[in-house]
Amino acid sequence: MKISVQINASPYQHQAADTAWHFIQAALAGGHEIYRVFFYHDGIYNALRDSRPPGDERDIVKRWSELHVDNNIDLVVCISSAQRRGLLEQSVAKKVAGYEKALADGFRIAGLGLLMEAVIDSERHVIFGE
Amino acid sequence: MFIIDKPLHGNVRAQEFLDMAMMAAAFDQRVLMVFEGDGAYALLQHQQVESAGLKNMTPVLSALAIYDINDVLIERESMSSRAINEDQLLMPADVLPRCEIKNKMNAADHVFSF
Amino acid sequence: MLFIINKNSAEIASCIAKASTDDVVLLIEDAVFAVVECDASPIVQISGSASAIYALSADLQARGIGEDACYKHIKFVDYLGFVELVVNNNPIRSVF
Repeated sequence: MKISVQINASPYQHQAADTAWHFIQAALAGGHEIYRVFFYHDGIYNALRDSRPPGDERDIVKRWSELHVDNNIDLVVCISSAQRRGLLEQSVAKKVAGYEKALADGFRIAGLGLLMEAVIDSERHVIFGE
Repeated sequence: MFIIDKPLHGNVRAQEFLDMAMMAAAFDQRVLMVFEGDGAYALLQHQQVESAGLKNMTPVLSALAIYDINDVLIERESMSSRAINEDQLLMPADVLPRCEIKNKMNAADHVFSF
Repeated sequence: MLFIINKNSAEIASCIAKASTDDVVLLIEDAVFAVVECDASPIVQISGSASAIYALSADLQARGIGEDACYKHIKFVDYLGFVELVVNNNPIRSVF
């Protein structure tokens, strides 16, 4: 079955990103397709490249990047949620002096349209939040 | 179906949630906007949001019809338990009992909340 | 339909009350505290609820709650079971 996932909460602050990750692993193991993971509201903080958790903790951002590499899953960060919270899309970021690329590997920034497309094209849409 | 069961102001989530609903309408989806629980307060008139320094979201609610969102429902039980009368609402809404809203929910393709 | 609830609050009781016999309620994250058989549980107010109530085992284990401490009518699922509930039920309402 084609399933889309939406994540509305920031990592570490809330368990939502962990639950979503385990859910996605189980869905893939069960032979289902994860069509897209869409990061909305504070969920955009899952995509911060410079997140550096202590060595004995799970690295949530890296885990998402690996999910993209290992399973080719589309990780989309909402552009309006991201810009409001200081995470800029590459073409905009280039125009801001001193602003380095902040988006972690495997993520892309795009509009809400991609969420709607995922919702319409998937058989299920599961929302994780706080 | 989009369910607002939390206050409209106080954080940016309701604002971003309404963006989602409007985007769904732009994708030609029939949007049912449901107010229940403390979300019923979102439809009260006379919200002077600026006094708290927040962005006023009530004009967006009033403009939902412009985005082809014409199904605005409010749960009767949520209103009565919060002492909200229909004449206090800032826009026309269908006051429906919980069971009828639940029936519409069952029939929805997707249910969004925040 | 499937309700996914992630907080131990009065909202659980209202969702279960709202749910019909065909509906399924899944409790995850901090909501799993609700299935502990005790006076503080929001489930205690509901007698003879018709809908099936599931709790996510990993979240129970993470919080040190054994299945024997839970209400007898609760069913337990792992993440694969969570996926099955999603596959078998629609629409899905995540309650926050």
